[in-house]
Amino acid sequence: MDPKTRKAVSARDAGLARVSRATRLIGVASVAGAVIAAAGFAHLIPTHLPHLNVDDGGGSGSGSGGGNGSSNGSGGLQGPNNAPGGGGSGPSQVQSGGS
Amino acid sequence: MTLGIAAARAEVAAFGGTAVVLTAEPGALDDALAIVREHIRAVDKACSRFRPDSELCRVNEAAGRPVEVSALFARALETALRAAELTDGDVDPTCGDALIAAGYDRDFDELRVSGVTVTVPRPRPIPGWRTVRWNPAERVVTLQRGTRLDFGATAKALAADLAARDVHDKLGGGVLVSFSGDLSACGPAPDGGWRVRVTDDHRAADDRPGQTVTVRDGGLATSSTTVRRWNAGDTALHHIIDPRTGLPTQAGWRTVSVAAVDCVTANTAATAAIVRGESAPGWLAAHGLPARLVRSDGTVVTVASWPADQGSGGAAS
Repeated sequence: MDPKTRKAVSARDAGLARVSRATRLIGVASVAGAVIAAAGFAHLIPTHLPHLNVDDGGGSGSGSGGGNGSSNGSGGLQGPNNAPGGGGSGPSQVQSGGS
Repeated sequence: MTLGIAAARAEVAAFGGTAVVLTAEPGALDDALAIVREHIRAVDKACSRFRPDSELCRVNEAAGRPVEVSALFARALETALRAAELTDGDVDPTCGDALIAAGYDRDFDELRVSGVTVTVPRPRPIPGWRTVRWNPAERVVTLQRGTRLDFGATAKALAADLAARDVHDKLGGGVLVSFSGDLSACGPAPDGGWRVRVTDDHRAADDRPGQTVTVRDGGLATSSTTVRRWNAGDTALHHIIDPRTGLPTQAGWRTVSVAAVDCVTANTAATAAIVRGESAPGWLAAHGLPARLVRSDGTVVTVASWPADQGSGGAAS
């Protein structure tokens, strides 16, 4: 290879190396920027999207005694473990009505 | 006050209405009441729309900016969003501004005394529960500008569930906690169950139209358009907003009572039924929720396994 060609090849290799370094630098900077942005604005990301999570399985409830699991995170609108019974004619202990 | 078979009863003011605590063991009543009072205080501080120092007011005032909230507020918010999801938006916590626009801008007792400032109710578009940005990991909520939350359909019921569960866990035995007629029962009930009078107004006497039923556990709640009512000009209004119109519902049910696995579910379904109108019985039946619906003319319809309403001339579906 004549000196002129060798010099040209060397210049090309140096150019490719510079481009490669710049590409890697941009890639690293992008990833770092994305991580910083995600950390800084994480509280604005709606990670809980209940409307996209319809009927996500059986109720969590609270276990013993039935009921009172307080619906949070449970499967759906669950009926009672024991349906109301007829009350006969005795006095009531408490009212359920509008407020 | 001792009642029937091994049960005791106490009554205190709470959430602008009446709280009733029943314990199957009479000796547990005082301790149970102390626990319930703690829950009343905590939920009121977190969720009241009428206390300037509440978390709810802080969140509403910060609409447009992220706000970090307490664990209890997070629970109340998630409960309200869940209620909206399960009812296809019939029970929407972003109706706060519409309630204010309809005239319900103060505690209702104050409203009763001083009257409303609104003369012509104007529909206020509901932002919709899907606009609420909620990050449960950070417990940070962000409302759209102009959005005001209202937990009226779920917070009181959540408080009843939490209080009943807490009393049962700490004291054992059976307990029933009722906040203005939204009730939650936990643990073994007295023989025959807890006797509950279902009626238009939770303060009504036993001789008012209604039905007495027994419950053993879980929740029972009643929503009604007959109690929290006011007039704006010539228009009679109430507190249950239809999210689709931004105005109080015009549906035909005046009172709906629902039994469910817990009080939040019962109250969510009862409120949604008022909003849904004629399709409510079928919707409740499809979910297996025993319910009693009263039309404006007093006609009663019962759903699923709700006991027959004797003497009312009602219909079952």
